Amino acid sequence: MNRREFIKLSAMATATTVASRRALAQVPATGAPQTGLDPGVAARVGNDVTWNKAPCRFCGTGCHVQVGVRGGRIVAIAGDQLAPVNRGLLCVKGYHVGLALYGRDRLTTPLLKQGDHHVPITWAQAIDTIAQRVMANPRGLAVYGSGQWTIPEGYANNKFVKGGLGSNQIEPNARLCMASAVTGFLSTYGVDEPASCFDDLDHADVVILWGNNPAEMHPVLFSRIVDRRVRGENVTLVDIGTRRTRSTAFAQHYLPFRPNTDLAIANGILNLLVSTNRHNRAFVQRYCSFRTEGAQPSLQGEALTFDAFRARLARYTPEYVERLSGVPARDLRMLADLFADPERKIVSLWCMGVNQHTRGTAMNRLIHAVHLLSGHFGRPGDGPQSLTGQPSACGTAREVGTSFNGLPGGLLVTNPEHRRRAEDAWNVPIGRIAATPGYHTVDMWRRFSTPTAEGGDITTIWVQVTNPGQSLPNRRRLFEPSRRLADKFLIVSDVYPTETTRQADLILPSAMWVEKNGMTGNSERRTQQWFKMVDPPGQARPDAWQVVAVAKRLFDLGHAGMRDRSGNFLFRMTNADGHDVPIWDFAHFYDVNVDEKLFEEYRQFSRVKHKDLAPYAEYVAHRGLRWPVVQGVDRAWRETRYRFVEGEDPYVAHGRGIQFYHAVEHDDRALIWFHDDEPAPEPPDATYPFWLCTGRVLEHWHTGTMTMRIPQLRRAMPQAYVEMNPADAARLGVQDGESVTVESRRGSVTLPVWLDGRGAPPLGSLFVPFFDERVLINDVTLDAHDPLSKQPDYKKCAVRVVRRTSTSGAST
Amino acid sequence: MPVSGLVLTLDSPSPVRAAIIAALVADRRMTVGELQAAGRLPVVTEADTLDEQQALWDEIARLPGVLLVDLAYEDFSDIDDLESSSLPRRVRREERDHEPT
Repeated sequence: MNRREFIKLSAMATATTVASRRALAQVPATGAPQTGLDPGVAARVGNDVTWNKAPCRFCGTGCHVQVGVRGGRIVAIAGDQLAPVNRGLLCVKGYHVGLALYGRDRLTTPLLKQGDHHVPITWAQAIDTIAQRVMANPRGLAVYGSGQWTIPEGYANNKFVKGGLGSNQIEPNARLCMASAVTGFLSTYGVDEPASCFDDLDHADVVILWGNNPAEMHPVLFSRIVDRRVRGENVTLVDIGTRRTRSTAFAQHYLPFRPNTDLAIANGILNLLVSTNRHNRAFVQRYCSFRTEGAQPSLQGEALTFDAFRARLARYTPEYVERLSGVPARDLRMLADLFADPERKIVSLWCMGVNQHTRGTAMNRLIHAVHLLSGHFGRPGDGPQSLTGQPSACGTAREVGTSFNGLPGGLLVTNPEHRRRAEDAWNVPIGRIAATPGYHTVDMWRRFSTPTAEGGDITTIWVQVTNPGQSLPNRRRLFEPSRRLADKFLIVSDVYPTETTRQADLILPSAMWVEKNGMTGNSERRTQQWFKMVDPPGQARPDAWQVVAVAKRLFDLGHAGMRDRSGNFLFRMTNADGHDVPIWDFAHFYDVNVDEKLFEEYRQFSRVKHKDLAPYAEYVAHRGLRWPVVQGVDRAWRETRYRFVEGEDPYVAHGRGIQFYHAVEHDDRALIWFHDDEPAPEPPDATYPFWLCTGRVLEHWHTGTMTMRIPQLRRAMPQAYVEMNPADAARLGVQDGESVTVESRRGSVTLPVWLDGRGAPPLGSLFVPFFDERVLINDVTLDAHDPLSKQPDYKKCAVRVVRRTSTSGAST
Repeated sequence: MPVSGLVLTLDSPSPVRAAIIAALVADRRMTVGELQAAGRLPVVTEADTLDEQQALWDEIARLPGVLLVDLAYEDFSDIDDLESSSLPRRVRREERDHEPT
């Protein structure tokens, strides 16, 4: 048998195994360690390809892949059949994830801007440049990372900024994608992250998509739903959205609504439930209290009686909601009927449509409210499930607390007890951690783009694993001005040239994915681990090493914050013999498992908020474990599928049924919030008559820096476009494929029109994807943000369309 | 020469399934496996280039009676040049309308 025949046999063996497993809906056992090789690749051992597990690099689903390596290069990818999340399948991005490493223009050496050019420098020069900036103005440095940081990377950066610099000036780009989900969870249950999990998708009778398009954004999860239908199961899919998407094509009910009226829809459901006494009174009386917003937005709000709650909802009659939202009263009644049926199991899914919203916190709360009021909570297939877009938005941004006010494990810098715990864990002097939160993302970048003399006190930003030049809203206000200010210095660690590196003063080449060890946490509280499998190109190095190296240089320069209570280096590590290992010297970085050391230090924080993590070795043995992971009397570590549920969550007391043990009011009750609907900050008008919504597409991930370098994906979706309703196009005289300019009060982009394309926006609406760096739609988007979560709204702003002609320039 | 392992989900009526399978078996670019329960069919595709591979997948997805095309395995060990020679383009509606279905 030649090698090609062997590959074909391998492909057939894998496809056959996946086909049979999916046909039977087999779920890999999660209790026992999933050690050893995936059976789909086990047969291929002996060929010169080495296989190992890793979670996919892209979205928050957390699919596991099997990575085939030969000769120091990734040569094959297979879905991991032992992975409970994806059961051997991957989406089109996942199957090509290995190619994301091999674009021709990888960054391979540190580059310093001199004049209009970037010139190569050594790592020592780069590290020293950063250290000297920090020494000159320690409070002027901010670190801007992402939900693509691995858990150890995020933890190292958080410790560096809060435990070392003592400044709290660190934020993740997750502020732009799921901050409103965080404030929604915190103010409803008193603690962040979903109580439910992806298993719900296998049990739900009804799946409701709230402004969500999982067919493109979370395709493997969506396939779990569609798969059940193929097997003959009855699953009702309800799509509540502002434009038709691929997901709509599978939905039995499509409820289009006018932008920004989703709060009214949720209120309409709540009103129908309480006004007809069809809410779950037993559940509510036992487990819930009512709240509304006070004069200032807060996580606590003001108490409300049930009667007051009902009275405030009274005006949201089906007819009133229909006038506001466009959703017919009969469809609203249909939704209420679904929730009123206690026997039916209902899952709500949402992501950016709800979170990227100036009322994002409120809308998150209202989705929880609908489930709590109707008692659809805590059973398999019955609960609210917030989705995330990045592989470790939950694991790193949320759980490690890499935000302006967070500490690891859900702790807060504003809480003296939490600060003391962190200072003890890090062995830094009491008082090292600042009690004042840093700046949230929009504020951080606004200050970076403001002259120092005018209050722009952030003078250096170190960007890691993200691309704010393409993803920050209102780029001309938040990003570009800094590039014209002489004393502002932008450092960017990345793997490819991006819109941000092009504007950077210092570029650091990073290792990515399986070029380093890593851990991530997906949207269902599942913590995952992988080992380094190939070397990074050139001098590219892991982000964790970069921050440790800068910290060590600061230590050598005498920065007091880089010393712990004992006078030792903040990131001191020892080997099994107790000898110090100089991990800041890259030649010795892998002499110990730095990830394991950082993770074991981090996981001691996880028990405070009952987000218990298992020892590192457990994650090596599993395809992820969902926290809290608690050791039983038999010494085995067990994950938790459903939080707050007796028999599932080990922290729920016997006989309690459901216990919200981190409740806002410390009374074990979740809060059901009331929120009035409000007008959008920038509705269309006579000058800017269209709504603009932005988002992603199946083939590309976020700003496209990786997926646009994968030939198959780039070819399948080569360029950004603007979706327009055909009737609007006809009225404007615009043809399919014709270039138009989309213009807001902030900026404009020119791009081709796509009519009858993948999505179908209603009259007066446009959609533009975010992935194309040649079309910077963030020139156009709005930086108005939710008052509590500080998350900007990328889904709604007012624009106009300017028609262009090939000969005479522009015409309207 | 990229090799892929696909899982097709076929529509339920047996005569349609048989016709689809016959069409796939006749295509030399594919190796068809054993039909599994619930209409799951494993198929291995071979192509000379990435462009041809993509075109083949699109062709399969357009076959009447093919509900879903999932990928289960992708080998690109023989591909030295990861850059596509074809220019990025988007299929215009007019072109789609003239494509075989």
